Amino acid sequence: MPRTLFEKIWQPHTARTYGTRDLLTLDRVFLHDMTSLPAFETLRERNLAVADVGRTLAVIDHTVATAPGRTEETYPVMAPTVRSFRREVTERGIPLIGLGDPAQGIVHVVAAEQGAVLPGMTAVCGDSHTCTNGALGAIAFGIGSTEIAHALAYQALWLPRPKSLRVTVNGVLDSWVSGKDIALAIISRFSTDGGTGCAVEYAGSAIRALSVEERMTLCNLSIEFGARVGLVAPDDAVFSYLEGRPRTPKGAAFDAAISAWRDLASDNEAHFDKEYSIDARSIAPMVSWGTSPEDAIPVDGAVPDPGTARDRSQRSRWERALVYANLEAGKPILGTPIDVAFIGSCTNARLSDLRAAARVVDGRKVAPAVRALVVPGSSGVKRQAEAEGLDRIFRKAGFEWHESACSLCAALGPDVVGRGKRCASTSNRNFENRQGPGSITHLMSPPMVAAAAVNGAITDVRTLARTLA
Amino acid sequence: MTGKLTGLEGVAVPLLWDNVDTDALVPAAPHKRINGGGRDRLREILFHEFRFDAAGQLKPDFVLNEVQFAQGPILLAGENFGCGSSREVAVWALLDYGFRAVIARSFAEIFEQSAYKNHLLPATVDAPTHARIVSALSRPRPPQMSIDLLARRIAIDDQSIGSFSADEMGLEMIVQGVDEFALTAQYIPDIAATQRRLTEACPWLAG
Ligand code: SF4
Repeated sequence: MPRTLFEKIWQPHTARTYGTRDLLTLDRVFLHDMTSLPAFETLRERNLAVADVGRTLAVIDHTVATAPGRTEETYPVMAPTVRSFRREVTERGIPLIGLGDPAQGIVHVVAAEQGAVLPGMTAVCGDSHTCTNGALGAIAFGIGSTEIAHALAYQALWLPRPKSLRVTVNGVLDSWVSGKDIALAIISRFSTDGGTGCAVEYAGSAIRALSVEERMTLCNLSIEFGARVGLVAPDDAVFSYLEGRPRTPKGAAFDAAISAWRDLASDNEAHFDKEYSIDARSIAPMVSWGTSPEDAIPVDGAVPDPGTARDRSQRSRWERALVYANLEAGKPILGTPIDVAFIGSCTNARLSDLRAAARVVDGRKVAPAVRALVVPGSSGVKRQAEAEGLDRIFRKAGFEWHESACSLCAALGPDVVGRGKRCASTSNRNFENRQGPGSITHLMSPPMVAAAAVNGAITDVRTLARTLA
Repeated sequence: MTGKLTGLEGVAVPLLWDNVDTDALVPAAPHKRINGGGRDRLREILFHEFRFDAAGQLKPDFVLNEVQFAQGPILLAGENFGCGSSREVAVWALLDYGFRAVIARSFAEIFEQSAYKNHLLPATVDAPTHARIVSALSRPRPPQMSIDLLARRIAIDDQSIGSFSADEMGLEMIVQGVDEFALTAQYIPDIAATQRRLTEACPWLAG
């Protein structure tokens, strides 16, 4: 029987079946400071222990400050949470990467950098963007706090077997069009629940041509497409990405792993429950206008008119979104003034993202009224960027250069956009109040955010890049 | 944990938006403010940004602020309810407010799974059933809804209005008032055997 990539990982990890659910064994459980505490409470109430600390890794990232010089105590509101988290994990012998640790960063970025997620694995974390590391050919997904407790206690979870969906992207991307734009194009075309109940495999020549980091961006946004799991078949690009990382097998063991990983691809005749496809050449730099990631349009497009919505409920949602985002239907999105520019989050704050943004920023200045900040995805990314001089490019232009954490992605720490303020953001969610009460978010790629920072308004990076050359 | 739940009766609160996300259910800012306050304070911050204005005053036009809809215990929503962040506090906040069921056209997966685990019923209805419920709710006096979990039926003012679907194991957990921890404990040997088999073939999977 021909099998999909997903089935090749899911089936051997299934310990039991009960009706429509499988008891899936888990290779890795990642923890962070925001959603894990209730899980420890549950473990205590039930008198359960952590089954295998060797398969766990805890990171401090969600609720902390990012301003230079920060510590775990800098943000007093959440410092007690961070302290409790630190105590809970150390008491249980769970390896912890806290602030000040050179490996610290956003949990999904750290997991990949450490080689803690490998092809063919199952991995979970109490954050919906755990799907990021599906880019390495793993089944990685977000879970709730009760599920974290269950995963820690049994190293397994009961899950409904997802349907399979393949999204094929063929063709060559235009310059300045990236993984972020592919993701936003997919979500806007097939809607924010287009992938609900499915494990999505991204395939096609445009996907194979993406760097591993761009695949991470794409897989990261699978959850905004409704899919808990997104993955790409691992290839040589992934193997060389993984080589030499702290937790990656070494020497002959690595070679043995690679030969096993080569089988991790959907068979030619494999059946998918759903198939979507999209032409890479049709994708422009994307920008979101409303309050759902599906509210994304090409940067040279117009804010949609609710009169053209597909049904009544979409129309009323669009009407509310227009009021919230303070935009006028039918007007071009280009030129919309922004107040904040944020380059950060597990979606788009890896080294290649910072490099792409720096290319746009180099030799330019952030518009006077704009607060612009770079929050690297990990302390490792920050160090590498500094070694390349990217921090100097950003700082010279007027960007703030921060320590790594989630920051403005979810406004769980002290960083917020501000009421009524408009933010060009490389993150993943433009929900109402997501970046702090009253914040207005426009999702876009790192070069697009850089261009918006420079012009003080939503800008087509392709136009700006031309004036540079 | 709650007891067995086979039936549910009361007012259904119509919040007919699509894509109600978990940031909307439990926004970060007020959640940080009550941090350490425990799950029994979550009712204060459910839908916080919609219930209260910037000055902390009730917004009269939000459905939960209408007297007849102040209680629940059933929430009626549109499509893709509970999308976004995995935060389980979204489920706890609905429960703490007094909701025991959400009826929607569809649910986001993580939310749906967390709902089952906390015995909040996520009832999925098809478009015609949804439309019938919506039109019944537009009566001047909010009608009484009843949900029969065993028969998977929804009735309004004692008239059957349609059926709902739910995950088999999830529904069973709510009906029986149990969760899967006890079930899983019986399968520890199966989990161990699976892991052994996997790590023999792929030693790098071990920690
Ligand atoms: S950056 Fe945002 S999405 Fe990513 S882990 Fe942090 S809060 Fe979650």
